[in-house]
Amino acid sequence: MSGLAFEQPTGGFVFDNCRRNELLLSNGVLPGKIHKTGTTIAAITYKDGVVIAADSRCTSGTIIFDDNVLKIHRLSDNIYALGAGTAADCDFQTRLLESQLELLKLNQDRQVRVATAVRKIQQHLFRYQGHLGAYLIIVGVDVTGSHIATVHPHGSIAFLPFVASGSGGYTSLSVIEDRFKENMTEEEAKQLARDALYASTTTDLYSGSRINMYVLTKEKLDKFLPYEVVGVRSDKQNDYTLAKGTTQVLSTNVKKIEFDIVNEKVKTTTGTHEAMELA
Amino acid sequence: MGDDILSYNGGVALAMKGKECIAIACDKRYGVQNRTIATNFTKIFQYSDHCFVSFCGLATDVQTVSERLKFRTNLYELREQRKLKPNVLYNMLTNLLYERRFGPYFVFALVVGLDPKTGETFIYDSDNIGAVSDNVNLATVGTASEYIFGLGELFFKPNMNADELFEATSQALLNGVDRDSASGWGAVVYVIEKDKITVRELKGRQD
Repeated sequence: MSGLAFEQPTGGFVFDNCRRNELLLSNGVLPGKIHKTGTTIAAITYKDGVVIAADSRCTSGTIIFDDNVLKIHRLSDNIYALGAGTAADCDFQTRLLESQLELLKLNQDRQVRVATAVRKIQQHLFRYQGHLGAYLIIVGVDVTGSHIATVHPHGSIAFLPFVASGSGGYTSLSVIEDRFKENMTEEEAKQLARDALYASTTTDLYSGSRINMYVLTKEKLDKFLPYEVVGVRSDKQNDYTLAKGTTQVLSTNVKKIEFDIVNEKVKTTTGTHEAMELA
Repeated sequence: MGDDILSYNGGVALAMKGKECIAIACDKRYGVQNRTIATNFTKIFQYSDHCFVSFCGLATDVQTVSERLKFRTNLYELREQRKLKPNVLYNMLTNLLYERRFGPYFVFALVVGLDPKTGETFIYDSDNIGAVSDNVNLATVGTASEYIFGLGELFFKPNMNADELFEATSQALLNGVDRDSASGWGAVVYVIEKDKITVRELKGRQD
């Protein structure tokens, strides 16, 4: 151990636990379950722009850890990313890409292009040889038009008119393949995205709850959070409120939090109001 | 559970939201697989007047991560000359955990906080590599988390006052740990309100 009392965070990954973890794993210890986003994510181009949709379930093994996760990450005003695979990797890699794109936009004084975002993330993921489990869909509208690209952890990409990814990706893709046509209207595209997501949220056990949808064009960004709640929770059959004193307490300790009063205002109100005089 | 690294030492924590109040609770067991070594190992750490974090998992990493995080938050307070907000604390923690993406700490974390001016409540949870969650109503981590999720969903209702929140949190935790051999031996519940923090030790099964 380097015995550093003062750690200077220099950015990037730190590998100081690796030796210890290798030892634990070689002794037959299983690594813990990390959060995956299971997921269905889909994106469709239409006449004026793109429609992107995602479900909202986050699982750890088969336990649903979070029922209302937003899997749509902003990369810049005109570019968004959808993430499937390992939750932490999707969150952090898109955040990293977002800051890099912001700096690039400031440097080149132009709106960032989708192709740039895709190239940057692709080269970054390739360096890690697939160990960063981020299956991303990058969508955006820039000066060259609207684009959808799918990015895989090893760094392969594909620019396509429509794409669906994640554990429920195949189900969604089959719905989209059936009904997709070039230059759809916004309503048709939204309906198709909704139907594709509905199919996978109901059939894939790692996708579920809500369908979140964004519609992105050159002029606007419409957010539908959610577009539809697929897994509607039924009301509780009974009131389970517990009476005060149900739990036996051994000791209680109340710590008051000290507040400093910064300023005080006293407002007086007069008891009676003068009647209005009408001339 | 067997050889799962996260259940080597056992332990569990739960957090629940109320109306302008938050409760965070944990058990007190510290064991090495089937042997219980200590019964005073609480897993809740305070980082600011209204911000608390609970770590569950490998005990050595619970201690290391809580201290490393304290180091970073101390520096933040010295540099910025202000107290931490819950979402800042959460971002710091997830950053710390993700830095070690390829040699991770074996802890799952719960971050809770309250904004004393607005009364807004925050509960965030994280896996051991810093997966970001949204502000949720209820979260639990640890070996008995699966049991406590069910109980928590049952007892939770929106906008509970501090007393109702305490009862709901305590019952969810106590009944959950009773079904898990790797956690228990008493429990501690912190109820955080705008002007005070009430810490209660609960009477539970001592096994």
